[in-house]
Amino acid sequence: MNKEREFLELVSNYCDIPAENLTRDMSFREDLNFNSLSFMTFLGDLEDNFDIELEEEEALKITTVGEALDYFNSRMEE
Amino acid sequence: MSKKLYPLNVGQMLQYLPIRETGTQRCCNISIFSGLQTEIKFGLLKQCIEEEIKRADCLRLRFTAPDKDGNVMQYIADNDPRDIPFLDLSGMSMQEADAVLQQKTYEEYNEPDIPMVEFTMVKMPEGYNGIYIHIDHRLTDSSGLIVMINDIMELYCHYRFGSPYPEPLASFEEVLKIDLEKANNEKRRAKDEKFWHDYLTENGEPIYSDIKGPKILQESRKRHGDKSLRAADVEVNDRSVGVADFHLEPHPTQALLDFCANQGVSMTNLILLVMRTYLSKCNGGQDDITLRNFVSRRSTHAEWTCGGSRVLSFPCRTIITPDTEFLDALYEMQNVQNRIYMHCNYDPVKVDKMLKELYNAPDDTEYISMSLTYQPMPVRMQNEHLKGINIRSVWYPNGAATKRIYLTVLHSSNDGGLIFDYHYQKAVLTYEDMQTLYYYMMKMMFRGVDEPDITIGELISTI
Repeated sequence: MNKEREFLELVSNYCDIPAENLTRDMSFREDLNFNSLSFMTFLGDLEDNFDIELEEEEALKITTVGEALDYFNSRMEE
Repeated sequence: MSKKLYPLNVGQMLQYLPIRETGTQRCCNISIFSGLQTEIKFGLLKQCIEEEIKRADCLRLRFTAPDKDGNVMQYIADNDPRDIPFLDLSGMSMQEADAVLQQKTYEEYNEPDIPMVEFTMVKMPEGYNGIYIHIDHRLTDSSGLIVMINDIMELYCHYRFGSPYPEPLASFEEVLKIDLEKANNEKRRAKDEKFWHDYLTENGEPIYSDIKGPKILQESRKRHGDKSLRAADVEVNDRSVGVADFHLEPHPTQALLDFCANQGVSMTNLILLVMRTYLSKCNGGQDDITLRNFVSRRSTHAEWTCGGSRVLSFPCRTIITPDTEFLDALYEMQNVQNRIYMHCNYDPVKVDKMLKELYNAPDDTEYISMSLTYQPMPVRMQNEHLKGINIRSVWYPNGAATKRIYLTVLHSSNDGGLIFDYHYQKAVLTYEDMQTLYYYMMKMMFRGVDEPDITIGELISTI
């Protein structure tokens, strides 16, 4: 499984929407029903599962799946 | 046959600690009656409860006897062949019937290797029929219990009305394995430990605040002969609990929910803000206030349906100056909480220990007088065959108050309003204290929602 797919599978665990149905424009809060706690624990899981470091301030600006994926990819490259 | 033994996860440890401290399992019990105002086929309900015990492995959890260090292990029994008793209280008044169930709530599960839950089918007065569940908190928290009750009723509707069979529940054992694995992740643990150390030291030692004003801390300072003491004594001898419930009607509740949705903040943070603002008012405008927030760490689908106790609690400290506008203060609260949420896998018992050790707080003292848990999910029958039927859900207090004031805010099962359920230590506080607290919390909350640019100083001085 490639990293992007793993990322979407992780999002899917939190919202019960199959990874293949997630789209870039989906909002974590409005479309996927994330609350503050689930979003922050999702970020923690991202760090642990992919062994990356997230900048909390940057990560908190994320609102959509697409933004999260772009940010995730940028951290994976570092 | 030998069973696979597991240690407790951090949420379960948080529940187990008061048992060790108080020497009684009672403080770890949660009990609820949930029933519908309609005829129920009790034979079928019994079959559904038995099926639920098979579906939800957390209901079959048992604990070993404590080892020499007082630690227990847990395992999952294959089955629980006990009968489900039936209790007819319909001939009593509601008050009398509640008293019977309240009394059952005091029963303790003190032996090792025994079932830690008891289901009773109950016929209550006024035509309410349902289930009373008396369960050790380590098997489930209130969110998990609500999921379970809803699942039993989905099974009931399946067999009685032919509605779809409910989706399987997640395995407690599988989620526990993931929890324990996460807890053993050294890198994560080091990161969380650093966060908590920084969080607890960045503003120096916290200071106690109380709805009774600064005199509580002053008395502790005298008792300890330490004029600079910043933690106050905790009542440990008499832990009897008082309960004060207040109902906020659906219309104003909706106004609060709309405000939170429009501003992108959570109800938890709104309530925490007014709690800390009232404490500030009671303590001469003290701007440094610490509360305790209990959160049920359920985010993934598996975490929502696996049962178990996933409630963790952490100190939530904010320093908010009087010139801060209400909305900005709310965002400040949210920022603090978000930072905490990212590190909430860490053992809360260790956080408390770290806090105590950092500042050499004397034994049996606390920096925090008020705790909050916000329960967003009501017992609500989603099935179309049960819609519109009145529901009665009563949480019976276990009689032991481990916190000075513990506020649970939950959504009413029937009307969508909010219930503010205050549990307080009767030895030191009164029902009237809770009435006053609720009154000021509502006044401050609605004024802040109506005028988000009002400053915290104005709120404190004009209400």
